[in-house]
Amino acid sequence: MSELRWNPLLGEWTVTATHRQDRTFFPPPGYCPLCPTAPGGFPTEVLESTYDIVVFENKFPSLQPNPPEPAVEGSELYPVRPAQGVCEVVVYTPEHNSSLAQQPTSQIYKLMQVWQDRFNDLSNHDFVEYVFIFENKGEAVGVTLPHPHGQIYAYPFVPPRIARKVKQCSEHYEKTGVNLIASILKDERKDGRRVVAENESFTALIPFFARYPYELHIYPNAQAQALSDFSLAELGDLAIIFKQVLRAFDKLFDVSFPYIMAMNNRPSDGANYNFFDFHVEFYPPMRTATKLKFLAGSEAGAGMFINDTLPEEKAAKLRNLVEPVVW
Amino acid sequence: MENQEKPPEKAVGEMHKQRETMADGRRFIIYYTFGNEETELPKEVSENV
Repeated sequence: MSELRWNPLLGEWTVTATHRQDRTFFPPPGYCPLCPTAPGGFPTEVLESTYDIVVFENKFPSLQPNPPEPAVEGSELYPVRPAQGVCEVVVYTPEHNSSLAQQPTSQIYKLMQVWQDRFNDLSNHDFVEYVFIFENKGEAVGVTLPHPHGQIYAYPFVPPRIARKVKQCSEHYEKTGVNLIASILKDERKDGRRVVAENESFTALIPFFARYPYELHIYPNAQAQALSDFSLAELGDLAIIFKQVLRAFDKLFDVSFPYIMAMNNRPSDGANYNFFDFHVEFYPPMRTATKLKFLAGSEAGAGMFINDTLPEEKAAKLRNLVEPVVW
Repeated sequence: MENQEKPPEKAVGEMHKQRETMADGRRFIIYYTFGNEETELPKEVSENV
């Protein structure tokens, strides 16, 4: 059973996808569905072994290109619609015991090109209005398959958090004639205390308004709405800054640092988004080496985040761990 | 940051992709490889990108 159900209280859709209850949950060693199939071994999702990166449709998708009709009847109060879209899995490497942070920069650079290709490809579907590239990393954020991978959801609408950002960016542009991300970046670079790393094309920072202790954003130094706008050289710079911040994350508490990575491109609905800029956000749940930040009453019930740390201090700590990268 | 080199575009090479139908017959899978010469994979469809 899979459908979109309208939430009239929040004015947003919820995906109901009951088949996902059966998805693979911490498979035993040798049965990882994301590893390449070994000769004579358990048949995984990936039959070939000669590849750098592999992408396939999720076996347990929330959204499908040809979805079933909703199993429930909608109403004026509760509209329903088919859960149309695409859910892809992006396997970063054939290596099981690894992470994106542990990959050579050249492999991360390849991933940038694959992400760009997937963005372009999925944006061409007439039913897709937003392509969301993301990674859940670590058990602390609910990951059940440790093999290094990310996901892509191609939605049939612009999801609410993105729509809210688009609105903010549009209003800022109307008022000032300047893109909001450009304004934030100018302010952060002038202040400097929250900047973690930078190169010719990108800047990584913990923003003034961070909601998590180590919430890190990556902004393009020049206007760009989406991955599709970047040259290979710029994708290389994006790979470098990813490698730097991911390694700094791992060194913070000497653990494979958990996070949610959200890549925000402009919507793919064909409208003009010149006022919106590409950016990447990391939401790590760790606030100390032994404590996690949970989304509790204020965050989950009121949407009001309380950050009990100072972004300036956390940025300094991360910045001190950033090292030059080797290709 | 200091000492950063530009990406080794030539070393990584061009991206190639090979799209196939998965074993369940309903989903697709895309194998991405990189190299300066097209990688030979034992399947029917290979698309240079």
